[in-house]
Amino acid sequence: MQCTEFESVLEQRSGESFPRAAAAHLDACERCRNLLADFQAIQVSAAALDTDLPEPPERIWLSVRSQLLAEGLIHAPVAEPEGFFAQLISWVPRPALAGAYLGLLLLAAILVGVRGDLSFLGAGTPALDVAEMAALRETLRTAEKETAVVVPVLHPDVTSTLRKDLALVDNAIAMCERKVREEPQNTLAREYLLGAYQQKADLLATIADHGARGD
Amino acid sequence: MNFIRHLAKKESCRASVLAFVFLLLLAWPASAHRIEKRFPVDGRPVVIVRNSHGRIDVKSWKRMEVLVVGTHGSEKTEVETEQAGNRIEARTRLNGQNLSPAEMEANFEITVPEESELQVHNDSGVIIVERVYGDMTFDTIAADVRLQEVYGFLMVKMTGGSLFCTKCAGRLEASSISGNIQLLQPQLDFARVQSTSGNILFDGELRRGTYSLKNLSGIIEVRFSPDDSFDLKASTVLGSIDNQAQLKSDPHGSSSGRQIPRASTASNSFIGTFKEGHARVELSTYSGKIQIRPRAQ
Repeated sequence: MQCTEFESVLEQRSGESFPRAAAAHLDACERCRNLLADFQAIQVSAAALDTDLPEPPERIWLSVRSQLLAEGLIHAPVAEPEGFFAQLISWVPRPALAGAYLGLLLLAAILVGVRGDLSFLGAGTPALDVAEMAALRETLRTAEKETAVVVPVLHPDVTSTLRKDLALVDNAIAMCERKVREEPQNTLAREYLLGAYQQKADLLATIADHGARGD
Repeated sequence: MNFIRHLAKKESCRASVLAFVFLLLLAWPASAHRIEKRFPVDGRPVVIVRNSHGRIDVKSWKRMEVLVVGTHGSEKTEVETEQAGNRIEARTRLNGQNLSPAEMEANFEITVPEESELQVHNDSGVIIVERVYGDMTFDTIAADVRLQEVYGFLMVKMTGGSLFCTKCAGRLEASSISGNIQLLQPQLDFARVQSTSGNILFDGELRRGTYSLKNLSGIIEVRFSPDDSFDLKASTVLGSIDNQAQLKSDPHGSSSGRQIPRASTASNSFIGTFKEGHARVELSTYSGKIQIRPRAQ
């Protein structure tokens, strides 16, 4: 087995042990052993990020909030929220909102790492593999979970557009993911998939931004 | 007979007066929430507008002054303005929650010096800009953006809105998820345009500049004339390409000027050169249609 073949086995593996040929290659190849060790380290770090991140004390959020207010970046609400969604917003703690941003920041970091250049066109072939695809999907799912509850009451045109376009982007992601799974070498399909991930992140950021601004 | 005519005239006059009073009453609430502010500037101003819903009209004049006229139909909406040097800001503040769509509406008529920079955010409604020269950014969710005879670095980010750009010059970056994008008679040096499901139309000279038009589904249509000169690359994953331009092999590259099924990438590409290939055109769709057609004379 060659290193490239081992890499594709590594990408497609989901926890189970390696096939015999791959295990034999791993024994013989130091480069692939290092690669596996890196993967495992990333997995451990990612898991730790998800579970062991301590909740910042309330005073930190108060301090951040007062600073943002002082700089005019956010405004104090004028009236008490009355609507169903508005009550949800007021109920949602600030860390959850920050969590949505964190998710989007993570996604951006991954995208930058994967691609270097986020431009939709003209970039070289993105090196997005199955593991990265899964990581991006998971990040987006988490961000979406935390963003959905901060949708404030907006103009009906805006609400319907956001809903419709979120569904549209989800559909695009599903379509591109299917194609990439069928044809992993299809560079154009991969490029479209990255574009769709980025669009979803942008859309969630827009929704979160409206929630944060409270307008 | 004369009596009937006289009576008819009198009735018609009364109806006119009633109609006038009725129109006055209709106009009264709007004029009750109107602000008009003038801001003198001594250089190229940066005008920032932030609105929730409504129409934003921006036009230019020769004066070194920015005029902001804001109207809104509810006391729950406030229009605020601010000047700091050459930076002028106009924004809408919504007071309270559960506002009706009508209560959220605010409209702006803004007149700026010809050379001005604009940063406009409007969630829904429409933004119209005519004859302004300077860098501009537009950010909307459901609002359309209509630009006419503008020049500068133009950045348009929309979610569901559409862009209609007529005689735009400079550099353009525009994106929408479900909106359409139309570039009519553009004189751009660079355009990067993308829409997820919307149609993209390019109808103008192709003699210079770089154009990248991309969508996931929908139609990308490029109209060319015999005097144009461009390098073309069109790609699709699952869609179709209808090219009616007589392309020759690309003198700037090694590709042949015909459709090439690329087995390695499982996508279809079309690469070639029309005339000398002065402009560079890249078209890409995932499952939509790419149409390269001669312009009707």
